[in-house]
Order: sequence, then structure tokens, then C-alpha cells
Amino acid sequence: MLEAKEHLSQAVHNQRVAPQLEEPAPDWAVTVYYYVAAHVVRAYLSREGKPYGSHKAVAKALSELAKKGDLDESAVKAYFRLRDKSFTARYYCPPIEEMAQKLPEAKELLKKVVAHFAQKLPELQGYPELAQYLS
Amino acid sequence: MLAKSDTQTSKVLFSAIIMTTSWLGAQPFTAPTPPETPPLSPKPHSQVVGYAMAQSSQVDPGKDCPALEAAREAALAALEELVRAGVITRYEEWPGFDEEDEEEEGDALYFAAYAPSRDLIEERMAELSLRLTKQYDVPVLFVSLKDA
Repeated sequence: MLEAKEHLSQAVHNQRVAPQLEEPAPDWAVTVYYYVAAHVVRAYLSREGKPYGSHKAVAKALSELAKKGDLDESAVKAYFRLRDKSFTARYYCPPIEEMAQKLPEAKELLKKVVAHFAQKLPELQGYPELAQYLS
Repeated sequence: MLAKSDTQTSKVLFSAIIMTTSWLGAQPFTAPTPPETPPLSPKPHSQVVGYAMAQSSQVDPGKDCPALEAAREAALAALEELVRAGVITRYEEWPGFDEEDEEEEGDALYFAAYAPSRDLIEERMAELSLRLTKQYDVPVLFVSLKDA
């Protein structure tokens, strides 16, 4: 399984790609923004000794941590919603115009996720591509 | 900048898919494929169809795992309540999402919830997912879909 640093590097990589997809393929931009969040979350879980890969294992781990009070429930829900949007974008062929309208909300959800996990993963702030969500 | 030609754009997008999914590591990359279950069930006669029996035969009822079965019953009850309240029009239990093949990472429950607009239910489904997963210690995942 990957380590936190590797997940953060991939999150940065995805963050660089996502804006380039916004205009030609907003559906894929939503998905890539989700994978920014996915790697940030997995970086944190890896640091916590929970190096999971699957959506179900991550959902369980996040819920456990929220139950213990280690994570903010609103951040976990934002992550779940972003995953939901990404899944719909990939498999249910929503109109491209509709996905373009969803982009701002997807980015807001990502911001909420990154902002919360940055508190748990201070080194995240060392990556400008991710730190932009903290302002 | 993205390439302008369709071919080049496709390459860039394909690379993006590879990049975003590369963390899965152990599994070879394949292009996105539809879920095992059809994206949309045949249009029901009634708007409210509740739990789709056609799906149930594909789903492990969780007989050997009390927590899984309890979570499933709670999820079905919650979804039925959402139907009665008019929040969702129908729902289905799925055997899994196609991306979920990490069997060693445990059992999970998967549901699709339909509404006239998915925006109306996305937050509700996220809340329900978190509540049920916390309560039963079993991942309960939802996808919010627009009803045709």
C-alpha cells in the first residue's frame, strides 16, 4: 500500500490536471477533483495506519473516525457527496452542460475535504496546489 | 494546455483516467465500464417500486453476518421511509459498484436511490451512509441518481 507522501503527490498531480479538463470535459473534471480528495483522504488514513484502497473500506474507516470524534462529520459527508457526483459523472451520462453547472459545487466539496484533512495532515500545507484550498 | 484534436484530447483524457486511478496499484487499469447492474432499471409501472426483487437474488443476504444483515434491514427501512416521505421515488440494492473488487477489505452494502433531481437527495444519502456505517460498522454506500 502507498504511503501518505505518495498519496499527496498523486493528489497534487490530479489537482494540476483537473482545471485543464473543466472546459472540454467537466464530467471528467469532477471525477479528477474527486480523486484529489480520494488521495488526500487516503494519505491521512495511511498515516493513521489504515492504508485502504477500496471505497467501502475508506467509507468504513472515515465513519469510524467520525464516530470517535477524530474527524468532522461535515467533511466526511462532503467526501461522500463528491464520490457520489463522480460516480454519476462516470456512469450515468449526465449532459455535459449539467456537469459544468456542478463543477463549482464539486470544488466547494473538495475545498471542505482538503481544509479539514489539512488540520490532520500538516504536511499537506507544503503543497501549494492543495494549500490553495485553505484560504 | 490540452491538445486541440479529438485524438490528442482523447489521449489526454485517457491519461487522466490512468493517473487518477493509478493508486489502485495492484489492479490493471481498464477503461471505465458500466456497473454490473444496468444503469437504469426498466421503467416501473408505479413510480414507487421499493426494493427491486430482481436485484435481490444477486445480493448476498448476509445470513452469516448478523451485522451486515442488520445494516441491510436498517438501510432498506430508511430507504422505504424516504420513499414514503416523497424524498426519493425508488431505490435498488446492488451487488456492488464495479470499482469495488477488493474482497479482502470486507463486506459492504450498495444502494442506488432515485429522485427527480439527484441534487435533492445527495446530501441526504451522504448523511444516511455515514449514520448507518457508524451504527452498524458496515460500509453502506449510496449513489444518487436522477429518475428517468
